[in-house]
Amino acid sequence: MHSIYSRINNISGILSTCLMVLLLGISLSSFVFTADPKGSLEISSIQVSPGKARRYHNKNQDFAFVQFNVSADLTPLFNWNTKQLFLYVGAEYTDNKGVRNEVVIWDKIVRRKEDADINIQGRNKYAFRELSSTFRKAPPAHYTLKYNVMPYVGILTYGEAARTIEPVAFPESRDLS
Amino acid sequence: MFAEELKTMRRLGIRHILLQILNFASVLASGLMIWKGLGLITNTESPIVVVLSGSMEPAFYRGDLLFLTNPANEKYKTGDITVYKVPGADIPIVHRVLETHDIFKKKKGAVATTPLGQDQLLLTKGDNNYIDDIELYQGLDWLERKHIVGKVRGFLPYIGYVTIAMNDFPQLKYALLGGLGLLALIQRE
Amino acid sequence: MVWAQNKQREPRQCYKKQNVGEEDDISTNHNNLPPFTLAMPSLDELKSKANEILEGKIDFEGQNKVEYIVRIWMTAATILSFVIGFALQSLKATFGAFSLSVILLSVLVVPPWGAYNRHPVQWLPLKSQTEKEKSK
Repeated sequence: MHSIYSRINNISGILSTCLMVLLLGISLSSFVFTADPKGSLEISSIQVSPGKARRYHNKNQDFAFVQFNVSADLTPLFNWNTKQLFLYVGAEYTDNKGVRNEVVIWDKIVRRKEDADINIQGRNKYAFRELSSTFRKAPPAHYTLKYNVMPYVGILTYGEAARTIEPVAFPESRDLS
Repeated sequence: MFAEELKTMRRLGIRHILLQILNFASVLASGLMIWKGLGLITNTESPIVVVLSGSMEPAFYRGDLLFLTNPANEKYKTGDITVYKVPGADIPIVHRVLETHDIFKKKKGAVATTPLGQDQLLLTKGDNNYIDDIELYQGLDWLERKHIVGKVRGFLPYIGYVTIAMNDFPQLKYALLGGLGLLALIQRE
Repeated sequence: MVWAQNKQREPRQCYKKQNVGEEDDISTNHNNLPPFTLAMPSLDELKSKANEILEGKIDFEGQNKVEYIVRIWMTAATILSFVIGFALQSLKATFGAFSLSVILLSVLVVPPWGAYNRHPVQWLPLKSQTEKEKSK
């Protein structure tokens, strides 16, 4: 502590310790906020149409096209340590062979609290395919709206905001063109 | 320029230098121990990774530090952010799970409903990319459990930028290492 | 043996001073000159003056004070900035308050202000060579 250099050294040492404590405190403070908002999700229409597989062009592959309405007020999820929300709509179904499938068909990033009260009519952004390449044997699927809260510092948390009340069946495949 | 330093080194003697080397080695060894111990607890080969690309923006930027776990008896879900490494690719990739399909696997001694009895097929996508990762899988159709290093649990911004700077400017790495070594040898207290 | 009347917080420094003095003695004796000669301020002296300003020495009492201030200040700043940020629900407020307090602290303790130099070390008068031998 006798020279300027050693004083700066001392301050920066304590500074880094304090900064670590501060960051730890901020990340732990996320546990105080336990909001669990709920919304609603309805499927307005589903169509299944045959197409060509992306990688193997000689192979046929069914694609499902889903239109949905989603509304949820997710503003309570925003606190001082929330950087963004990652929202995603997914389909869940377990076929008669016991294969459990989860497919995300739509997602959205919400970065501001003002945009967190969502009310969206959407359609799937990503290709919705079945492992067996056809939806003929697939059972009705549940659709869910889930969120991932991403903090500025600390632990990532997940939650489910909405779920279809009844599973929605896949229609017969028909050519849309 | 180094005359002064050489003089102090000569004055301190060989014992002192040996002691400093020993100190240096113990710092290195304890660092390695902490790293490997963390890896054991979290069940991943690298429990802390640095984000190297912008494909997960605005969630993760270059230089952010991620803490991973890979619980052995837990399946991956959609929305999880995974770090995976497919054979043939040299750098691990941090992307979000888009699809999961749990397939039964006939395996001796494993019950069908336990994670061990199931094989999970995964498809991932970067938040900032328009399409899924199938082009990155080096010919594989699906990602499997064995390719996955871990899933992201915690997040610390910017701290890892030092390592990226060292990768971008290799001279910096040697300068830093040499400087630290010299300091350790010369330090009197 | 007592070198200084003041409380010795960093005795190593006193020894260091002594060492430097001895070295000086040896080098001057080498040239068969008396130990204390006054001359025109040479380039070396100017250099050492500049070094002194850059080094910004403070006395032992000052060091004690600085250490105390830094510890209390930083602890208080950490707690306060957390509370401010939590109350305003903004990380910007937290880190704004924290960095502001760090800058203030640096201004307060890094330069060698007069307040840290109020208790200069009182050296004992030099003992003559014979006295030293007697005391042995």
